Amino acid sequence: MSRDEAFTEDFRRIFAEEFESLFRYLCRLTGDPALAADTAQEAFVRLYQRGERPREVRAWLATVANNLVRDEYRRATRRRNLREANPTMFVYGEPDPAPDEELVIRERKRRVRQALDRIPERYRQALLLRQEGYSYREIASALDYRASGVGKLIVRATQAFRVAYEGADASE
Amino acid sequence: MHPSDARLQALIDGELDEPGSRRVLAHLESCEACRDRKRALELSLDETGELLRALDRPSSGRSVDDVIRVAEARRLPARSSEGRTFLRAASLAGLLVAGAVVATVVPGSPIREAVERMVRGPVEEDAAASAPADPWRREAGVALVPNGHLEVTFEAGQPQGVVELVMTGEDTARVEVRGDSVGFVVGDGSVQVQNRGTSASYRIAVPSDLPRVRILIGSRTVYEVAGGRVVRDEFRQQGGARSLPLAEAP
Repeated sequence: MSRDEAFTEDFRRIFAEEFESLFRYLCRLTGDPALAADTAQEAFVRLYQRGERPREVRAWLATVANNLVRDEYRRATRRRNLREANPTMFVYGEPDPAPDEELVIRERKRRVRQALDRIPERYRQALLLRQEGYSYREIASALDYRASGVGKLIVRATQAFRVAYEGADASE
Repeated sequence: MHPSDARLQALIDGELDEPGSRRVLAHLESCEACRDRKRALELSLDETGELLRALDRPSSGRSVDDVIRVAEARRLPARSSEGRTFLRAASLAGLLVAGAVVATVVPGSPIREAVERMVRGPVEEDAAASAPADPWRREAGVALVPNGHLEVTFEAGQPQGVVELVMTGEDTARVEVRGDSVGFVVGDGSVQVQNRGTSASYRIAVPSDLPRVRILIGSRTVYEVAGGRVVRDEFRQQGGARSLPLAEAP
């Protein structure tokens, strides 16, 4: 088996094990399933193009995905500014609203989203990566944080999320 | 000495080394307050997990073969001199698109007038002279001024809906949609249509002199012009228009 074939086989295994987890993390992080799917795909495209397995593949994928999301938010801000400057140039159709869901579920989802959006980005990322089963070392690597501080980071992130959730405006 | 919350959390997460774990567990044996703190942390973690599951979607719908195809397709042009030329052209296109965008905000600019006419529909005197009205006018869509190349990618196939293809003498390319709402991502000479789960129909208006054009449904190329020549065309003449069902690739 050639080196390329061996990597492709390894890549397929990594995809099977990690893709949906990364997608779920990004879905929770961004609240945008289409963006989450595109970002997870792009992270894996870059892994494939890299041609070899990084030392900590999950942390590597999360790092790439976090950077892509950050870039996308910057671009989205630019697109929004451009549309506001000249609304006739770009999109003039908007995505459908979500289909009707049961009121309680929808309300919970809205409050969870609101709570996540209210906590600092690093808390959000640490909390969501931990919920995906990332180890402290992987979280430290993905967030460029010291490994000895990850436990405290997760405790604070969880507390901040809970406070934000309890305080999320139920009437909005 | 009582362990910190971070240390209890690390114990819960299985992140303490063996001696550290033994020390904390020994302390918990004799300290009810710390046992309560540990239980509270576990409960909070479980409840947080439950809350976060509310945001989950069942699946991304992406396959490993899709990813490999995208990676391979992207790798090929970058290796060839044609690819480098294309990248230079794309950079130039970016500048020109940016120029066109600027031009659209300048009152009296011909590009602005063209875009306004296209998006808002003909001005009154034109409308009076051009009956019957074009059913696509005033529908949703996106427009861009391509420079030498255009790529329109539909994120996915659809069980319903068709794409019509029209060649125009205009400088502007358009992707118009009706019957449903979708999102668009516009790049330099590219439009990605976020149509997954919709049943819309589309009309793509392409400047007839563009030397490079590609239309894709998912990863399948259904129409391609290279070097000014049509090298792939799955559109069929139907009822006065050239169209193609947006069904999934076989």
